[in-house]
Amino acid sequence: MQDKLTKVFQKAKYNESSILAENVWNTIVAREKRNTQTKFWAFFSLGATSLAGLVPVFKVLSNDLSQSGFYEYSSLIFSDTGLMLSYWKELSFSLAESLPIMSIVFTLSLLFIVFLSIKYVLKQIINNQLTFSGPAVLSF
Amino acid sequence: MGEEKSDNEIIELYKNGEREALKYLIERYASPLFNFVARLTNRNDAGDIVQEVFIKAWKNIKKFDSKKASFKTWIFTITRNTITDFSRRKKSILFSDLTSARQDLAENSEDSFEENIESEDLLPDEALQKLEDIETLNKTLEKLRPEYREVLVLYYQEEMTFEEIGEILSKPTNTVKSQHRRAIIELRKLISPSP
Repeated sequence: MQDKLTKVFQKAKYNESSILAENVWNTIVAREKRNTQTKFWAFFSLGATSLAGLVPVFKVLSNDLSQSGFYEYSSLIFSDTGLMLSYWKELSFSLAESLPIMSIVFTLSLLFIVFLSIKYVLKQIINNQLTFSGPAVLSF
Repeated sequence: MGEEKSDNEIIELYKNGEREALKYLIERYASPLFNFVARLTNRNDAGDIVQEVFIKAWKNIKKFDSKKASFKTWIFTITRNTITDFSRRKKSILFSDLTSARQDLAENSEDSFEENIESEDLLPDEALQKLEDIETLNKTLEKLRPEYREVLVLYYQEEMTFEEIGEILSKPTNTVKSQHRRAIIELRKLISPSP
């Protein structure tokens, strides 16, 4: 009975696959393109803003480094080796204390965002060229 | 044309960046899903529902784990859930409401006379001959309860095992077997000439 009922069901199947599959594929490609474009412009804007923000942030960092005496401690370390060997512990602490932590964190974060955005934007450009403009590579 | 690739191999290719691989999965499952949806809802809405299913699958394919389930049962589960959502939107019969846990329990524990009937006895050749007409089959299926219909369609149309059907419907295998038997009995009642 199972075989006969299976045959009955198989015989009664609808046949709409080719157009439907094509439509589904086209919808997915369109959505993928739209998603990619949205992400591309979002990362591009983020990267550009961060890159523009790097100029004033670098100025602030440079200002903070000179005000905190970081440059003086650094030059002292490199100018007198004997003094450095005798007071290396004190000098290291002074150097560490003179670091403008907030400015450094802010600058590094911006740099990280810039590199991440560049990486994502380049990846999307390469993927887009390979995926949507080239012929299908696979064969099944 | 190369050798036929398995679903898992195609998914791996897709995950590794071969975007076109998804197209082959769509081509492979469009027809079975369309037929499943058309039998449980109607032919006019089936195309839209199948499209929604593939979009959901595409969005979640990176989370798909072949160790947990086969792609076939995974996509049929998505389809079943999409049909339920669609039915809710259309305010028609809810599959989930019809298959409450209490009913499942009752069906599992019931040791009725029906359970002991051989399946060959349930639908004799005479009855099967009537179903060979597509229109009769469609109309008869429409009269069946949705949970019986989905078991019959998955078992006979998609040729799935009771275990696979159980996974898709989130029911124990014994419940599926029981529902299958009841569906056949119901089918026989529907196609038998009234006294």
